[in-house]
Amino acid sequence: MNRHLWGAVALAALGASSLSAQDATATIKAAQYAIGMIRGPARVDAINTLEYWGAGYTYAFGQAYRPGAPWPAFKVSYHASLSYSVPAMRVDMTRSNPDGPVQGGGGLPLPAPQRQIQVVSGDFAWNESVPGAGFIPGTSAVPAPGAAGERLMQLWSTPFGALKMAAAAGPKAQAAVENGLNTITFPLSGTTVKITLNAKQQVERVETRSDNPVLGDTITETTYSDYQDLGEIKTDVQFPLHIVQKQGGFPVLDLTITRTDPNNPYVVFPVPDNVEQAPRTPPPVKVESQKVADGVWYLTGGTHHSVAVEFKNYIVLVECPLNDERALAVIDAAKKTIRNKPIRYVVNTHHHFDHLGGLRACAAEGATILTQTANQAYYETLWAQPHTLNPDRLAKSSRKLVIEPIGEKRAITDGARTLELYHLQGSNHADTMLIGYLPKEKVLIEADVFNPPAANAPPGAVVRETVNLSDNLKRLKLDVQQITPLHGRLVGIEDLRRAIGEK
Amino acid sequence: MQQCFGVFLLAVAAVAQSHPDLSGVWNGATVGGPYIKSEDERAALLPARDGDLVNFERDNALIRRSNPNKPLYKPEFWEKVQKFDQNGNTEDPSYGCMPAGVPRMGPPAKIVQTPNELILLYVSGAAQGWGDQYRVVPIDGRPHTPLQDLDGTWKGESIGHWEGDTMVIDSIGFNDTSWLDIGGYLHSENMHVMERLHRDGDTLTWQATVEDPDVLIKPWVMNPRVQKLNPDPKAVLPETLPCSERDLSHLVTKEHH
Repeated sequence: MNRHLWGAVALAALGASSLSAQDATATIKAAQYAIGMIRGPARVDAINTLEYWGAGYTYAFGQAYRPGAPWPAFKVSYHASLSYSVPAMRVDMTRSNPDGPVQGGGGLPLPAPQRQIQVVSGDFAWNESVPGAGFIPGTSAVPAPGAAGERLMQLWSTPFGALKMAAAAGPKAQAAVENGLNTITFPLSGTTVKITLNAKQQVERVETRSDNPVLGDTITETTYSDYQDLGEIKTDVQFPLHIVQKQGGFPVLDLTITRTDPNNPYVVFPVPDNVEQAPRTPPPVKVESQKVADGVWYLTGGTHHSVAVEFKNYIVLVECPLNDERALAVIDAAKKTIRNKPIRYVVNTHHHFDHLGGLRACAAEGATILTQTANQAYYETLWAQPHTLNPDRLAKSSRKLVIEPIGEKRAITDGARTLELYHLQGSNHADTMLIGYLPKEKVLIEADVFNPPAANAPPGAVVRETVNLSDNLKRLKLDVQQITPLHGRLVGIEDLRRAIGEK
Repeated sequence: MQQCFGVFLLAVAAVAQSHPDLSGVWNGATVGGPYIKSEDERAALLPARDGDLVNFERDNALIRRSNPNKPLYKPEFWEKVQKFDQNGNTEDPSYGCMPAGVPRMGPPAKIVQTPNELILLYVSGAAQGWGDQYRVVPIDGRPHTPLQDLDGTWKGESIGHWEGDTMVIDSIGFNDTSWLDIGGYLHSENMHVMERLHRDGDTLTWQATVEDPDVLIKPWVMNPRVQKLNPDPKAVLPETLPCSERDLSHLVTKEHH
């Protein structure tokens, strides 16, 4: 190729890029026009505040009953109010149990309908007991600083929000045509957002990307369909009748919208003083080591605990929860508690993401993962996914994942100490649940099926999963004296009996 | 001593005379925005979405309500404000021919400034309430009447003073009937309004701050409004037709007109 031809190619490439940005501006305007955002002779974007009400389902992400199955559902009534200018969003939803059998985690089954009010306003996020909590005596606004980014991304994933941010991206927004449909991509908060328009140029799908400790680079896909003017006051603003949001390939939200108020209603998001004054970053991860018996340590702190068991030449760690940060702190605590021994095995109690999130860090430590047989193929598939947005410890290491599956029972022993692992039968929480038992020390290790309340708390309702645990202990003839729950606190077997109403 | 006193009086007079003269016709009958010189310019602003005049009102209703600057009410008033907002055609006192009151009536259309008072003249319109309005604002340094001695009114008791080159009009003693603006923005009888008028050449900037701790979480600083001096030496304020509500029974939607 001669020099002139190279020059022509380069010019053509520059032209295509420039044209794409110009196309994006026109495509964004057309989409804004199609859903009624653009108004008046000055063609201004007139949508600032919005409310919508709907009903349908929310789903507990990462809490499937079986590995690879859809996330379990809650029925939900849903009310969102938002302001694009603040920017802010309040989601007020009441969750209840779905019809039919209830299986899976995430708090299912609920003992009673549960109201959740999640707010974000600029950099601040908090949860309200009632709308406006913190400004009303007797109400509470609980800071949730780590949630601000995700909640804002929800705001920018709405049809109007996505188009506003695409417009704000200016020349960085790019237009294309895929499968005959217009698409717009633009950078936002360190990732790329992609909008796909339908034939009427309305926003049909918004894809965002975020990091998840289990899934790695995770696409959140929100689809919008059946646009209508659903307001009591007619505005010609079009809003989708149906919203479906998916994460990890399965729905996390499925709403049928029953009413909207896109007429810039009065919605405000004042930040309570305690939220404004709260630390903006989560507290540092803390792990406390508590000796339960000779060679057995309860590693607590935060919401999820672990147990370290000392063997002659190595450590067995039960649970690497949440994420790299927690897992690394647990590894560090285990090594400081039991010095000069490697962590050879890590027991993963079940496949729910909160119990699975730190497992990659433990695999990078060189530990062999012990998990229920049904998890093996699922984990191998999950861990083949890219972690480019926030490369974790395993992504940066050359270690390979080593899994030793456990069917119904496995014992680890050095002759002096034994840790038995059993597959829990009959759980509706997770099909792959393992419990640990140290026969000499008479210590039980379990996750999620018995979460002891605070000492001196009044007894709650009997939980089916706890009854099932007790049935399993009897079936397996395990002589348990102490329990190290991976949520809650160290308790005795009498606490378990009391919780299920046994004398 | 007499000489000293004379110098002092001259100094006071010089200071008094150093304040800007706010007198003039500011924008004639228009509401906010630039001074419109011709009917052609006005007509150019009317076309709406798709060039269709049918969309004019619906578009402008949406744009008018898109102002992101909202008063922060205490949560116990959120529902009431929303209800007023959604039922503006029946709830908005201004749409029932009532005066807008302070601060909704906005900046004056004409100011007559004397050494001891400002006379503020307003022409009517849907946004400002109906009926030609006036205010006489003392600027002679007198204090407010104690609040408990005032009958609540639409315009309250207003007293002005200079802060540098800015005239600050301090008002108390309101009824709780008027709204602060379109959108159901209610207030209590304990509202305190401070309006600031600043002249810069042939431009007048008006901005009001509303304090009402009975209903607001924090004071609301309204958007500034800029008025141009009407350069026509013969400019007059048009007479307003009497307001008589005759449309409500014919409205078939809740669109706030």
